[in-house]
Amino acid sequence: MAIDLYSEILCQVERQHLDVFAGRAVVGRRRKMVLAGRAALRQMARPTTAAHGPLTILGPAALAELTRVGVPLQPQVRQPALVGS
Amino acid sequence: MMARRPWPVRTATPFGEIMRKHARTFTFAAGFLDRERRHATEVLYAFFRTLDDLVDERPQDADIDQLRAELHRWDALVADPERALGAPSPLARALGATMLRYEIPPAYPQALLRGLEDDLDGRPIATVHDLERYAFRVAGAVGLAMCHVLGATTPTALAAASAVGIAMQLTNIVRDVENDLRRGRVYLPSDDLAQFPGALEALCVRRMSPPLRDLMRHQIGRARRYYLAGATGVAELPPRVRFLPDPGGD
Repeated sequence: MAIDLYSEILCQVERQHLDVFAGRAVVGRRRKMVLAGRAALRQMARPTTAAHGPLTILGPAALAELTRVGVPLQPQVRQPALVGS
Repeated sequence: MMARRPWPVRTATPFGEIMRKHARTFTFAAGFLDRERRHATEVLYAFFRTLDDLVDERPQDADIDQLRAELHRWDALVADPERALGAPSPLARALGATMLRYEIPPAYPQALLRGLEDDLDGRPIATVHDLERYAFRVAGAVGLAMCHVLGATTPTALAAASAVGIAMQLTNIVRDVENDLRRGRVYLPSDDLAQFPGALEALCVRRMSPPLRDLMRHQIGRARRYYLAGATGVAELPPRVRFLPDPGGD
C-alpha cells in the first residue's frame, strides 16, 4: 500500500505540470483512503508481481550496498540494470 | 463480542508522535499494522528521522566535527544493541530492543549513518550511481529494517524493499527540489542536469522551463521503475502485513 500512496505523490507532481516550484505535492486523506482500498482489493485478487524483479532494476551501486550490508544476491537472475539511462 | 478495533489504528507513543508529525502518508499506512509491529515501526522511524534531522536541519554555523562525533556515537550503539539497552537515550534503548526483538542487522542502520555522513561531507551527486547509493543508504536501508519487522527476510524481499526505499527517496527529491535549493542542496545528478541543457539555469532562478520539466519527467520515470521493482516484494510478505509500510519516505 505504501507504494501506491507514495507513488501518488509523483502523479500529483505531474498534475502540477511538473512545476516543482508550485508548492509541495501532497496527497489528501480522502485520496489515500481510495488508494488504500484499491491496494487491498488488488492484493486480495492476486499478489503483486512484475515482469522485472528487483535485481534487474537495481543498479550497481545499490547491489554493492546490498552486498555490503550482508544481503545475499542471486547472480543467476542478475540482468543488466534498467535504471540510469 | 469482540471489541471494535479502530481503523486505521492511531499512534500513542512518543515515537509515534514523531512519525505522525513528519510522515502523514507513512503514519496512515502503519495504522494498519498490529500494535507490536506498529510500535517497532514508530521506533525505527523516530531513529531514522532524528538522525536525518540532526544532519539535515543543522544550523548554518553547526560544528561539523561535533555532528560527525554524534553519528559515530550512534554507530557504536547500533553495532551493539545489547549495549544500547543501557544507553541514557530512550530512543537508543527502544532501538536496541527493537533490533534485538526483530533481529535487525546493525549493518542496516549503519548504512543510514554512512549516508548521513555523505550529506555532512557535502559529497556531490555526480552520477545516477551516486544518487542510487545515497538513496539506498538514507532510505533503502530503512526498507531493509522494515522487512525484519514485517517478517519477510528472503533476498528477493530485501532487495525489493531497498528498491521501494530508493523510489521513495527519489520521490522526495522530486517533491522537495525547492526546499533543498533553499538549503543550498541539489540532489539531482550532475549527469542528468548536463543531459537537459538549461535545467540548471532554471533551478538557479527557481523558475520552471521546458528543460527542467523534461528533467523532472526523467526523474519521475526513474522513481517509477524502482517502485515497479519494489512491487515484486509484496508477494514475499506474510498476507497479514501485505500493506507494506516503508518509512523511507516523508
